[in-house]
Amino acid sequence: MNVLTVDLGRSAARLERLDRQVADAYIGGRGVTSRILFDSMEPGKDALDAASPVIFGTGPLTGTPFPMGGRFTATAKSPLTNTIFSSSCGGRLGVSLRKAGIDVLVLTGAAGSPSYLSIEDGEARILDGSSLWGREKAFVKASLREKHGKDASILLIGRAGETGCLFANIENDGRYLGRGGLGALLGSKQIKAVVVRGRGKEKLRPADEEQFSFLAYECRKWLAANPVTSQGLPEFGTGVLFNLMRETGLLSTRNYREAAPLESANISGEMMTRLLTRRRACPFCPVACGRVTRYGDGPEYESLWSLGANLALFDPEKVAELNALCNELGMDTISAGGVVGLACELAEKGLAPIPVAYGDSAAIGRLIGQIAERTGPGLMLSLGTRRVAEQFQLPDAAPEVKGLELPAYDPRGAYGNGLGYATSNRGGCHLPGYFIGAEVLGIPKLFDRFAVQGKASLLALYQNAFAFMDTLILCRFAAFAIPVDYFARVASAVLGRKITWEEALSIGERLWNLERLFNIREGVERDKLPERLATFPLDRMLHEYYGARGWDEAGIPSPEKLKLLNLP
Amino acid sequence: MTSEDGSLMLEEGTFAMFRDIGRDLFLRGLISSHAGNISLRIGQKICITRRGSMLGRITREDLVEVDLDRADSHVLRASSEVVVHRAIYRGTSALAIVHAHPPYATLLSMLLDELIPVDSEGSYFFKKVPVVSVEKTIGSTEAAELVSELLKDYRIVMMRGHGSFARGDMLEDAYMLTSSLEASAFYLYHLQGGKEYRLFSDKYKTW
Repeated sequence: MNVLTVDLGRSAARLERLDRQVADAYIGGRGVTSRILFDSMEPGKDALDAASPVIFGTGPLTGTPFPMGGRFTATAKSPLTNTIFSSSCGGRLGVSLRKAGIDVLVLTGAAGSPSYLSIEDGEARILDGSSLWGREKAFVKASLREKHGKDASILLIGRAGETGCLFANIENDGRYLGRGGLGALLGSKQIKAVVVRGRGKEKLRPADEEQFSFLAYECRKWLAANPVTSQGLPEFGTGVLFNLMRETGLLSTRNYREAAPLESANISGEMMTRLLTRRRACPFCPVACGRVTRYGDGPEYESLWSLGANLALFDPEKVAELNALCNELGMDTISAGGVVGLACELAEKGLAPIPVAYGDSAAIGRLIGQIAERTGPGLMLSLGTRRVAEQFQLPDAAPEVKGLELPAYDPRGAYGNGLGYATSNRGGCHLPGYFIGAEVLGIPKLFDRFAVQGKASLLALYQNAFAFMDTLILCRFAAFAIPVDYFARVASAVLGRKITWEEALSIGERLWNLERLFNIREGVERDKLPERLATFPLDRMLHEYYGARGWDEAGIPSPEKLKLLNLP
Repeated sequence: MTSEDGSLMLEEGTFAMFRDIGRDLFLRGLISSHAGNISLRIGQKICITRRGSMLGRITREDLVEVDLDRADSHVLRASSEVVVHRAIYRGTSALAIVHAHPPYATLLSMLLDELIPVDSEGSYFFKKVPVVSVEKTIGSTEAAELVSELLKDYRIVMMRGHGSFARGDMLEDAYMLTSSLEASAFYLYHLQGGKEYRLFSDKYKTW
């Protein structure tokens, strides 16, 4: 693997080969980028310090025609959570990087003035971005395409990233590195955009093409056979989950204080099709779950909840407008909806003079604008719910774990998912273990949502399996349809070496433990849920979880476990 | 979930899984009256059916808890195959195991070194089921080593002349694999000729 490291402060770049042992042990994507971060990040360093790197990585599937494998990863220390934070995105940057002969891009240091980075066929240049700073995204994209070509892949931040909002996101070709505030990292480095063009003549080939073609065909069969990936997601986008979650009792409103009402159906995936202008697909993806309305990209399921049901807004046009606003300003819709939801609760209780209320889309829109600019009440809110709640001495009111605002699935209705939130290495997130699959969708099998025994071991298994998926960089939705043991065979075919299913799980487990070690080193808090949401035997589940992981009662990996995984 | 003396306490839902899967195995004809065994890994313990129990009518007294890492006194009552179950749990990430004696699959295991399905469902689930041959087929360390090694890469394997070992995240999916394998074996056994309808079926043997 080729690693291009760009020092933005010194305007220097170097290209080197990744240590083969690291590549074998961590494969690519989230694995390799996490290992590089662990090794290069000075412990205790502030996430927004110039020396803190942000690392973009591809996987062995990126750029091959494997279905749902065209993604890339970004990993850094999150300014919002202070945890290690990996985010994956379905934009074209990864494919372009690989065509440019680069597998991993490491950005360190900070430019002296607003800039953007251009990478063309392996050559990196830091260019003046002063005319782009503070400008709307359409202008930025048009300017860069005119200068660098229409086929260039453009990754950029919005206003929220420029001002340092701690949940600023990064956009690439209409897809997002949404969570964790990585946009603020780029902003702190004075990088408005990264433009990549790769015109490599060499086609990206898997090592065993024949076996690869066979496996790709089989996986397409599975995707076509499963109604989630062949009907639900293509037709309704991720919003297809909305009605099901409300009917199951997993959708909340008003900062997790009430169940979402029947009226929520107005902003379901089915209803949002009325605004749809076209679907969007990530590279080589047959599902095409992306939505584009006349307002722009999205809204996704999470945004329908965070900016809609959570804020007691049930008008699809208004929710789509707020989603578009967040996209333009460049901020994570889940965290934005979470912090606005908290602000509404504080205002409602007369605890904070913030001019906002549940259901008032105009006021919510104005507040989101202030958050992006970090002015007025937006300054405080741009720090995320944890810090806001601390300021008001109401820690239980913040719907967060390790500082990351919780997504749409209420943990009180699915205990395994709740355990997943508590134990996630990147904070309150459903993706690392996606236990909603087992507890609601019956994928792979249906598990009683309110059962306690046995779930923790299963969650650990899923976290390991999905971590391995993230080293290949397969879309998480692939796991809805394709049995996870297939992924080891896919890895074997693309890499040209045999990887058993157990070895694949072991690679995932290694990555999970590495992330854990990073967080321990950074002093991240222990696993827990906000008190108002921990209404089930979480401690008992944590006990089983730590046992399954080979960790002590404090959640620290044992020396035996670390030795087995060849860590640190 | 353990009691004060450290023994495993099964939630009602967990016991119900054992009872229902055991019953289904018997009713489906995948085991005879006192054959087969099923288990779950719960933390550092294995919960396995009792030696001599009837899987078609499991009670709580038919479930035995043994240690994951080594034999203990509870092996006195545990299934004869506990050594195989333990090896599988220690060597893989399996959380559930179903061992059955599916008639057609067992019959074919005496004719073939690997079972490659011809039916649609089997083509999706298996591609290939390896057959392992051991002299001492019940509760031997040789069987334990061979079966656990194969289950690192396959979800179900056959022991020649004896039966199947399926691993799963839950008993339900291990049972599903067992049931589906028997259906695939039925088709394989009875098919004479047949027209190919699948692409890449020649690659199944490489699975």
